[in-house]
Parts: sequence; C-alpha cells; structure tokens
Amino acid sequence: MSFRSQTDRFIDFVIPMSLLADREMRTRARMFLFSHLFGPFLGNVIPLYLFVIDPGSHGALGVLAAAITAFWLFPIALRLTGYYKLLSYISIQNLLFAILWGCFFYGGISSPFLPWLVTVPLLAFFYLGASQRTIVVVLSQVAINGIVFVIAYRSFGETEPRIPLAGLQGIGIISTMSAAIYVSMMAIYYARVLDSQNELEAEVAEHLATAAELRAATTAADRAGAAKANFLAKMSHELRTPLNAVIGYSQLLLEDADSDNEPQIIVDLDRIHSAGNRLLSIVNSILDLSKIEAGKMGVDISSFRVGTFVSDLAQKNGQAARLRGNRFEVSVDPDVDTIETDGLKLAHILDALVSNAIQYTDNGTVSLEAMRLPLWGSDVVRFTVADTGRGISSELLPILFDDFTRRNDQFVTNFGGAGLGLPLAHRLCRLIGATLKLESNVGIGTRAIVDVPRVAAPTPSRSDIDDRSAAPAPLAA
Amino acid sequence: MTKGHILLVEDNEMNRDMLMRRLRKAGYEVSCAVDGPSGVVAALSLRPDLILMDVALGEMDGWQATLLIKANSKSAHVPVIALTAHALESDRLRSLEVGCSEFDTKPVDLPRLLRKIELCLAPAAASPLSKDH
Repeated sequence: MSFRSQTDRFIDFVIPMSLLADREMRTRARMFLFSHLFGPFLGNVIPLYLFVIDPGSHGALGVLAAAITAFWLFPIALRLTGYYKLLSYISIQNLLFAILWGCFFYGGISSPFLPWLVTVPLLAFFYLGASQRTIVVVLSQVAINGIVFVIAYRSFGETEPRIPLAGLQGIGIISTMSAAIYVSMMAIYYARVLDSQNELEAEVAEHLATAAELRAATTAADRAGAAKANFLAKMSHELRTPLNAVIGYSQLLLEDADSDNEPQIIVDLDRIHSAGNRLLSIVNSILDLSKIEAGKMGVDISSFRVGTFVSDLAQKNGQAARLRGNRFEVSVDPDVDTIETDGLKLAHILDALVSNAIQYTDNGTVSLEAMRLPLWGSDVVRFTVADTGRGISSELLPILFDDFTRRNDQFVTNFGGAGLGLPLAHRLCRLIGATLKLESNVGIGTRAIVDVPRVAAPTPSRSDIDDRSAAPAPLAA
Repeated sequence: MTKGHILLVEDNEMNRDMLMRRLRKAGYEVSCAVDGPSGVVAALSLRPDLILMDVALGEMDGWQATLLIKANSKSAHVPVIALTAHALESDRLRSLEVGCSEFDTKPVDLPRLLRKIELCLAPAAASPLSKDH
C-alpha cells in the first residue's frame, strides 16, 4: 500500500466515530489530523536551525521545540476525548504561542517568524469552518495574543539581538519556506479530500441510478410477463372454443349416424372426432408449458384419497388399454390413505405416463401402483407406471424430458407425435414437489416412477419452475 | 310420451345446444336456462323432473344456484345433477354439501350421464340417492 493511502487510513482510523458521520466534520477532522501529524516535522526545522547558529539559547529553543512537538499530542487527545472544537482552539493558541515566543527571542515585531501568523486563520478555517463565531473567536485570540506579546516584548524583550542581521535573514528564508510548504501541503491535502469525497458521492449517485434502472427494468419485465400471461389466457379461450365445437358436434353427428346406421359417415366423423381430440390435447400441452414457463402456473393443493383417485384414473384409461390387447392392473397399498397435493396436476402427470405406456405396448400388461415410502425423512407416495412394451433405448432416455431440438428422425419414427407429454409431466412434477424417474430396457418394458410428498411442501420459487435441467431432482423444501 | 322434463342450466351456447339435442334424442323434454338466476327462476316456474346444473356459470355459480333451488320448498324436491369440468374429490364433496343428488364430469359421456339421469328419476323409494342426505 502506498504511503498516501497508509496515511489516509491512519488518519481515518484516528477520527472519532462522532465526527465521521457528517461530511463537513469528516473533512475538517481530516485536515486537523493531517496538520497535527505533519506540522511538527516542518515546524521543528526552525528550532533545529536556530540551535545550529545560536547554540547558546537552549532554554528558549527548548520551549519552542516543546511547543511545536506538543502538536503531536492533539490527535491522541482527540481520539481519547472527542472534544474537537476545544482542542482546535487550544491548538491555535499553542501555535500563536510558539510563533510569538520565537518572535520574542528573535527580532520582536520585525521577527522573521511573523509570516507564520498567516497560517493561523487558514488553519482556523480548516479546523473550524468560517462561521461568524469562529472568525470572531480566532481574531480575538490573535488580538489578545498580539497585545500580550507587544506588552511582554516592550517590558522584557532583549535590546541586543541574539544573532546578527545576516543570521536573521537566514531564519527569515527558512521560516517563510517552511510556512509556504506547510500551507501548500494543507491545501493539497484539502483538495484531495474534497476530490475523493466527490468521487465517492459520484459513485453513490451512479449506484442509485443503476438501482433505479434495475427497478424500472423489473417493472417492465413484470408488465411483459403479465401481458404474456393475458395473451396466453386469451389464446387459450380462442383455441379451445372452436376445438370444442369440432369435437362436440362431430360426437353428436357420430351418435346420430350410429343410430341411423351409416357406416361410412361413422368412419369419417370418427376421424374428425379423433383429430379434434388430438389437437385439443396438443393445444392444452402447449398452453400449459407456456404458462409454466411464464411462471404463471399456480398450484391448487387439496387433500384426497389415493384409492379413489387411482380407480378414477384406471376407469379413464382402462378401455384404451384393452383396445390394444393390454391388461390394465391397478394396485394401491393399504397404508396409502390420503395425499395432500395438486390433484389435477397429479392426474395429468399419471394420465400422460399411463397413456404413453398403453401406446407403446401391445398385448402386454400396463400397471399402475401406489405405495407409501419413508423417503427424504418424510412421507412419500410412490406411483409406479410400468409396462411390458417396446422400451426406450438408453441414448433416447435423457432427451425425453426436454431438448426438443435434439430429437432426430430416428426419434420421431420411433415415437411419433408431438412428444409434449413427458416434458409437461416433468415440469408439473417439479411444481408439486414431486420427482419423476424413467427406467427402461428395449424389448422388455418401461417403468415410470413418480414420488410425491404426502404432505404438500411450500410453494416452489420462480427459479425452480424455470429450471430446465434434464435430470429431475427433488426440490429443497 | 317423454321420459321426463329436464331443465338444463348451462351458459356456454354450444354445450347447451349439443346436450339439449342429445337429451331430446334420448326421449326427454328439455328446457334451458343460461345462467344461475334464470336457472333458479326456471326451476320454480317450470317444475322440471330433473335439473342438470353446470357448475361454472358466471357471477352466480352452479353451487349457489343449487343452494337457492334446494332452499325453496317448491323446488327442493327436484334432483340436481352437477356437471363439472374437473373430477376432484373436493367437487364431489361440494356437490353433496349443496344438495346435489349426483355429479358428473364434462366432456359429457352420454351413456353414463343418461344412466345417472335414469337413476335419479326413478321413484323416490327405489332411488339410493334420496333427499335424506
């Protein structure tokens, strides 16, 4: 660290806390300390020089040197007592004494030490500011000291000069130089203190401006998010209404054609009806995925019996399973009683897994099992959807949850469809604090395991919802 | 000879139209109301044999309308089947709370719905879902 910054640190360390708070007081205290720390170095040059040219006057020089060195006591006194103003006035008094003492012994009212008096009002301004009161007090101090000096000199002053005129000239030069250096030092330090304070203030202003900008950006982003959510909600309605018309009326016409026994019309209408359902399912998936991405998907927790829940699911999917020659088995452990979570989302997740299982299995078995596990130190209900179908190769498993971009032709040929079911199921699991794992062997079958906490965890944060990592992981409670 | 008079309370025009036509084809006389308040009024004035109440109706939802119908002695005896888009257990419980005799989900599975309607319209003694709930 440079000498400069070391002194700065030291000075700031010595300033008592009470003075640090106010900007102006801080500046003044810094000037006070700087002056008292470095002043004596310059000041003591004079008694030193005098000692060299006038070795006889030990006494007088001793007092002078003592008074100058006494300035080093002031920082200590300030740190210990904190009486800043009092110490400033005492310091000024000490300085006046030192100057006039020197004048008394060397030259009287034409002493070469008199220029040092110039530093007195300057120091007073630095230490105490330029209020009327300060000016009055300091001028009074100077006047009183001056009067005392004149009286003392007239009464007790030496008529014979201690040193020759030439010597006095030398003193004069040194005195003026040291005063000039001292004053310059003070001025430079003052300028630096002001600069660094201005720098600091400019930095603070910049930070405040940045903070304001960030706030504005956040508000804008929130508004954009809200606009997006509104758009989604509107689109959702606009898309679903005509789709419901297609699905509903084709169903109606199917029922009519059924009773009127028109096989060709039945086939045609069936196609329209299936396509409509297919489209609705894809639209729902896209809208749900967008909603989750926009962070606008809420969670609706309620308590319900797992047994009823699972049998409802079985009823819904049983027929589809049987159409492909599959057996559909359901089992619920007796100690799985109720669960507290978002029922709709859980139903959606399991529906997606079950329909996947059915779709990729022919003349096999699809099973849905629910059991209770003490995982993660708490109660978990594990739903397992297993099938004896085609299976999924290990290279395709990791990209099933996300990564639509990595799906190549081979994938599409193998699986077809929009493939939104698993990504959506995965994200829904996250939202309700559940985990989803897939295990599969080609030609043997697939198992999907959903672990749901029996009691709902606190709502996940936005960052959890937005996280796109491929591997599902348990949410921290 | 109709199998009975059904009051259908449903705010969505297409759903109303489709369900009405299917019920008529199945042999029922069907009247419609487009929201909760007019549904309550219709229940009192038309005295239907059964009410199909869509739950998501608008300002006054189906549950509230059912409560009002069941609160009035003139219409309290009419069985109400709640129709809802979701199959939550909480919906089931709520429909029992407000006095519904049955509960079904949308999109409508017509054979299932017709079965439930028949059960509700059966003579009170034989029906397992009497007002004693």
